[in-house]
Amino acid sequence: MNATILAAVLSTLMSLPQETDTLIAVPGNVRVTVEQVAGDVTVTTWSQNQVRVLADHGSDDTIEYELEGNELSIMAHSNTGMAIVDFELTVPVAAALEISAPFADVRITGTQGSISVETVEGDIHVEGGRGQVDLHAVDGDVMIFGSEATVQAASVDGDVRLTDVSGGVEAQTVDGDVILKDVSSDNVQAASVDGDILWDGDIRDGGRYSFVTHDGDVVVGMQQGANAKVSVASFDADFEFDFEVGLEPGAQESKRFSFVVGNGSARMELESFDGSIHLTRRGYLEEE
Amino acid sequence: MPDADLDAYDVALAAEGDEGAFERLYRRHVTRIYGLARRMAGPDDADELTQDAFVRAWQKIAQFRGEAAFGSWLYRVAISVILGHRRRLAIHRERMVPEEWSREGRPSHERSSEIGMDFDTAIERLPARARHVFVLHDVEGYKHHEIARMLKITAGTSKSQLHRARMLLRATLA
Amino acid sequence: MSDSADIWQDRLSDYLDEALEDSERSELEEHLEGCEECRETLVELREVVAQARRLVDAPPVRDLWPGIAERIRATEERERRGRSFTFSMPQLAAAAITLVALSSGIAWQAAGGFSTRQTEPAAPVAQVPAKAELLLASRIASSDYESAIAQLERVLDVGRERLDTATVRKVDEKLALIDKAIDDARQALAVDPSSAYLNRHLAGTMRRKLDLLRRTAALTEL
Repeated sequence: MNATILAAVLSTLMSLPQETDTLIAVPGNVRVTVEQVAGDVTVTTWSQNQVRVLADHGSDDTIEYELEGNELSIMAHSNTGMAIVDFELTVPVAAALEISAPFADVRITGTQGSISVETVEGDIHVEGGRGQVDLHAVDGDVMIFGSEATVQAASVDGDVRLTDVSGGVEAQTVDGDVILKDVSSDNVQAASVDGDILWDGDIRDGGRYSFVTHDGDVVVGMQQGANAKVSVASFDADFEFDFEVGLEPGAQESKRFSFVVGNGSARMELESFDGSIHLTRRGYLEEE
Repeated sequence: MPDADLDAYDVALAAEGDEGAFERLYRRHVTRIYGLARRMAGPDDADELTQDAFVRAWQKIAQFRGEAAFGSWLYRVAISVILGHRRRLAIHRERMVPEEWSREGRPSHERSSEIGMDFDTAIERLPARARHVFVLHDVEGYKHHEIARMLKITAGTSKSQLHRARMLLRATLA
Repeated sequence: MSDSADIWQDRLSDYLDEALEDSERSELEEHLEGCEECRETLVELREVVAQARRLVDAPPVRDLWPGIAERIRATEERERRGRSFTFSMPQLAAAAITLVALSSGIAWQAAGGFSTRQTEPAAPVAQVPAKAELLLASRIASSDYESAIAQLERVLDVGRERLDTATVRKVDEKLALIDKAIDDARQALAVDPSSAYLNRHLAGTMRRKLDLLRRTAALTEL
């Protein structure tokens, strides 16, 4: 592999909205970084060792590319303020992605490499990912589907939704919900302050699960044959059990208690300061 | 001017935390600040930006030393807030594209609905940088070197952007 | 339009604003005598400037004061609660680590061996702090957090001008949310100070606040 530095600067001096379409030859394990301020970023894959960049931008915006070894950097600049560029990238399947786009919706489909996305005002939507997936939004929803990666997903004012995820999970938000559907990880930490934690996944033997909220509800859908020791703690939560769990008398009134399901293999912590904690059956989120 | 004296009095009170005094300042100056926000950033964001400007002014009012008129100081605060405002803009938003205008600078027939377009609307449609410079120079009366400092551009860029804005706007004159 | 016409046309605004050097001005005036197109353009530019000067400000449709008043009061409230300490970064990090260790320790004691964050027990049972020590420990940790938080709030105050105002507003709202949760936890602890859950919950919520402040402070570098 040559250590080539290819710097192709496409700048426009014409006052026209403009679309540029560029193909860049890259190694299959390329790491693609995108840095821009505003505009959407959409990433899909193909089997070629190339990155295709379709950029929709306005006058005075410049797109810069730099390829060094297996790192491809794509940067959007504006000569007159804020660059607003919509990017559509097609990358090799194994590409790793690092996207910093404060005011953008980011959508990634099908990559099988690590992913890191930072937005401020914008949603993040990921299908796939392998290794480590870190998704951070402030004012946006974070969604990930179909991944075996270890996931760290956080928002401040948005929901965090994980669906069909099997790697370790750390999910948090402040004023949104954490929704864990068909999650089969053996290590899940989910927290919110004012939102709900909704679990409708498969509790694995020996796994560790922590669902914590302050003012929201914790709803746990448990599968048939689940084995878990469940510790419940709250200040003043309400409790609802859709099936018998054999609580000691006075347990609910104490607001803190624990019980065992099956052989108690997994460890589960359910905490809501002032909301409600509800134990139900697996599949309750199917109606969504 | 009586208004400036009233301002000085209310500023002193507001700096001590007197909300009522600040409200009086608000009432006297909101129309101007709102007008600026609307022209610089468009009608959708004008309300929020106006509020942001006054909240920022409240936070900084203790630092206002009275070396200039309160109105001018407030204005600067508002401009700083408006320029620091980064909203995600839809790239599909219509922009004035010179090529679509015919040689004489009149709109072509397909865009005939825009002949006689409201001047305010035309300003809104200008590309951002040209719009900022136009509003600050021709509407608000700032000089190029002041604008250059505010927008972090050169005076030369300020002049060329102003010219660009004026050239685009002349086509909307009926 | 021919190139030479462009050169003249580009100077018309400066001419209008009397920003041309004497020599340039007389050159342009000479050109104008022979160029109808430029003369017309000049007239149009004058009209644009005149229109700009005639613009009238219209007030906002709705009264914006109530929204402003609400935010001013929230600002005052936060300032009242603020304190100033100077902590170095290693100290801030140490404060956070102390609290994590403490809350793990507390969790260990409360749930009889269950530790949320580690695969092994945080500490052997014998070393778990006694109740009195637990109280003291949580108070110390709490004030460490408060110092760290105050420090970060100061960083933010300086950097917040660099943030988009909508983002600042959003973050302030969420901080207020977390503050309310912290207050709830504190009030509950006042009644039941030895509760492992409440201590852990307060620590956890303060950590959320710290995280949010850290992330927002990092955003000001963007």
